[in-house]
Amino acid sequence: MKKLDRLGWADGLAFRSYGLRIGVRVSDRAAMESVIDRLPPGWKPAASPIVDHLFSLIVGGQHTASHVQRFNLLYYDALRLARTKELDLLLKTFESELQLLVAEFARGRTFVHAGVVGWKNQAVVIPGTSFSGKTTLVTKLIQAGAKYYSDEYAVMDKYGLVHPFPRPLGVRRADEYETTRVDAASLGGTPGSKPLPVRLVISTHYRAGARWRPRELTRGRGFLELLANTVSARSQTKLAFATLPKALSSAEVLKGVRGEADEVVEAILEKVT
Amino acid sequence: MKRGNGHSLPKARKDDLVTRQITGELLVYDLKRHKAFCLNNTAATVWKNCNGKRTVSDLAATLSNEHHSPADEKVIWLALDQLEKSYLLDTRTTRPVGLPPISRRSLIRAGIVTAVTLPLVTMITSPVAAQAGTPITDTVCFGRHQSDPGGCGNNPCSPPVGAKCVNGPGNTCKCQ
Repeated sequence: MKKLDRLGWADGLAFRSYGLRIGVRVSDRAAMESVIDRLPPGWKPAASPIVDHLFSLIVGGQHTASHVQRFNLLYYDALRLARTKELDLLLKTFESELQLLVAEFARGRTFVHAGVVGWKNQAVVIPGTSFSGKTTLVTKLIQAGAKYYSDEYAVMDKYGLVHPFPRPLGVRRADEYETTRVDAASLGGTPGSKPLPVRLVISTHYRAGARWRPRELTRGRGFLELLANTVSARSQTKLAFATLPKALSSAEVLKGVRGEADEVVEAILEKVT
Repeated sequence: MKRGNGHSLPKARKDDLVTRQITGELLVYDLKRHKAFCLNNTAATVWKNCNGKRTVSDLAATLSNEHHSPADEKVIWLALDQLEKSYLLDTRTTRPVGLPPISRRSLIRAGIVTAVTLPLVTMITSPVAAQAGTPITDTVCFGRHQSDPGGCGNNPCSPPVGAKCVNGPGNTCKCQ
């Protein structure tokens, strides 16, 4: 860490996010704008420079004399998270790791890896791993008129209400790994602003040609579906055990495979009365 | 706890568990093994009454009283089997010699299903933070070292879909 500290840092920022004090420093001032663009929704600048978690970005670029491309490096405290020649990839890793940090250690909030939309002042939560088709379903629900809350995390408070985490959607085109950031407004959606009670939990994944014939789960089984996607399930177990059952207290939980997202959107929204 | 005949009586585990009762089900988290369980009403009733003093017959009577319906001892044995496999019992239960293995299917076939629902313990392994997050790329995984704090991280990495960032040759990490 001392070696890192000795490097010349061009710019830095201390901010607060979900009760955490986080710092970012960059070796090239030009990278700061891209860093700020990737901070979690709702972040606020901190008055104090003292932080609990520190990210360091060393921008490599091209060496002027030798034409040698130097690596871009990303550190969390003294741990190297990434080493790549593509700055954009480094920034994506920074965004992902930062969100994961906030999701795991947020004070008083439980982050469930899930897509969320609001419909008739109630939340539809779609928990699932990456590549399960959450963003596709969220996109279609937004286009059908639902309010956008998140395509990545359902942020739940101690009352079980879901808060918005409206980062740009990470849309993945067919057979591609990399995601493209798409603003919800460009899809015709409006972001939700107020916390909502959960009305429906949809545990599903895409399978070509599948028909949507979900079965209803008990609240206890629904709890397991949410916990399996809860980032802080191990580190803040008691909080998750307090939050998730409250979130499910008036919710219906459906589980099943789905085909194309268009085919299930209507059925999902009809369930929310 | 042992009876005079040498048979041990089932006793529910209490340590390192987080529990929460919801309507009709009991949620349990094992802080040692990082497993979460959902016990239906029957399994929960049996588990809560395993105090190291009650016999299987006592538990069957308790279950009958609570559910206002006769409960066969085989139902209790099925519950105890599931609870034992889930490490939710402190004391293993001595099975009577000659008692065949009991499954839900065998009880249904034997017509032992009464108003008392068959016990059911559903289990998941709790995810580490990275497993519940967005995966990392092959490049990012390769940039890590086994000697780093947290090692290779075991993050899901993609492509290929389903791979994880695990130990590679030497001190390196790789997606596999």
